Amino acid sequence: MLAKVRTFFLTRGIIEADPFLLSPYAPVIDVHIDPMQVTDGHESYYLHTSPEFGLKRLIARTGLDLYYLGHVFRSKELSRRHCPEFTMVEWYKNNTTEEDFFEEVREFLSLFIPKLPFAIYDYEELYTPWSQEFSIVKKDHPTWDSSTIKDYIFSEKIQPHLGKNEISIVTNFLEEEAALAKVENGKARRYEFFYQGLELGNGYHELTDTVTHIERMELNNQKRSAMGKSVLPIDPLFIKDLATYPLSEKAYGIAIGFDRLLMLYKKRTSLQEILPLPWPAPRTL
Amino acid sequence: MQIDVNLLKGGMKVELESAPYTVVGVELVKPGKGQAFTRVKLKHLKTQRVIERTFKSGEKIDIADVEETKMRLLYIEGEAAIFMDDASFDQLSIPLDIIAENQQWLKEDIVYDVVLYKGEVVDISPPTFMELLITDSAPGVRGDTASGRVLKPAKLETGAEVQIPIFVEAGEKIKVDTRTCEYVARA
Repeated sequence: MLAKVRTFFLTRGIIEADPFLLSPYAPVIDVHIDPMQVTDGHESYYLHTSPEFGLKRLIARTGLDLYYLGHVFRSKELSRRHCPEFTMVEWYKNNTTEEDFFEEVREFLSLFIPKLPFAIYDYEELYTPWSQEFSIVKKDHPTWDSSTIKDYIFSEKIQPHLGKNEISIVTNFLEEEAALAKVENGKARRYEFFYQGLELGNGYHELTDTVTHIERMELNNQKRSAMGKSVLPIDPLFIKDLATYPLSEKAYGIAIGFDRLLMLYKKRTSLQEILPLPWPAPRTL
Repeated sequence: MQIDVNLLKGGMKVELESAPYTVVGVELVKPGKGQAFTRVKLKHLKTQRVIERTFKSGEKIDIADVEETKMRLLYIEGEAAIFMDDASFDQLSIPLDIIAENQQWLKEDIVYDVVLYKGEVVDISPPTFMELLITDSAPGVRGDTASGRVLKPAKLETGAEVQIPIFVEAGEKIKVDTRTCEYVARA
């Protein structure tokens, strides 16, 4: 399947890129993603949680459409559908439209799962049938804030129904959930792809403005700090390259979990069944 | 004492709404975007009722004040079983209704795990494997294997009922897995 993926991109003129896995700066500054830190005893690095910054810097400098197929690392993520080290397929089109980009994603997914129609959902509208659930959850969990309750309702009530005989695309997220997507009319042009209740990938109509990038990273660091999480160092190289060689306003990109696609392709229900070797039990420090 | 829900593992004893539970399952639920949750399956130590609770990852849960101690069964008298601590020779009378389903594994001179919650006995657990005598089982009938029937019911000396292979007869001793009530081997 790795070869199939590479052939897919080769035939479309999308070139394989191999950015550094290590960076002295945070590979992402997100409230709910924790990068792993490694040290050689003198210096400390972060392992990338996705190749996004490296790829975007290369795209900004070359203007090429690039993809990455390789491992990424995320701390504290282990379940039937998560592994702290997993394989990601991530690619960017520097000059495309939403429609063409979705079609390319559909072609890509059909390497693994049936070629199904897309259905597009507005993130906020998905909550309409569950409006009463908020007070029920609040009663059981009085300490949860409203964004936690929303995430809970999404993962327990909404997500299991997404992607039945279709590929569901959820978009128009709130501005504070934009991550690295453009915001238009107060709606984040971020796209989450679901099939059979499983999240397969996350894409953006890419944010190009570096001032907004810095504002969002700083805001997320404030939120992390309030949650008792570490404040992460903003990558000045990423900001500098994107300010110097701007991404196209028509740039789209997506990251897809390769292991989950392989799991669906093999009709299995846990990653452990398709990983080449079982993930070892962690050794606690 | 409290523990982060992310660090919970099967078998740990926790306290929820002032009741003691054993953790029987832990699952991480992590949506692509947003907060991770930990879904925990808990079994009530006294009633054995299983409940499911979801915590926000990073939330803390109380560790139950639970102690486990090994005690040897001396004898059963009326509605209680009398155990003894091999080291201190302290004796303890445990009402049979607390032992509940595990009564079927009570045998004199066997060492059990006695679970105490706030100093009070809430449960006992038998050794995982026990060697027990079959007191009652119908003899195997020739030809049974041809029809696909390879197991038959049997009653053990402690009262437990298990399925045994048809070639094993009453009066023999077998090794049995007390967690699943399954025959393991001839002892």
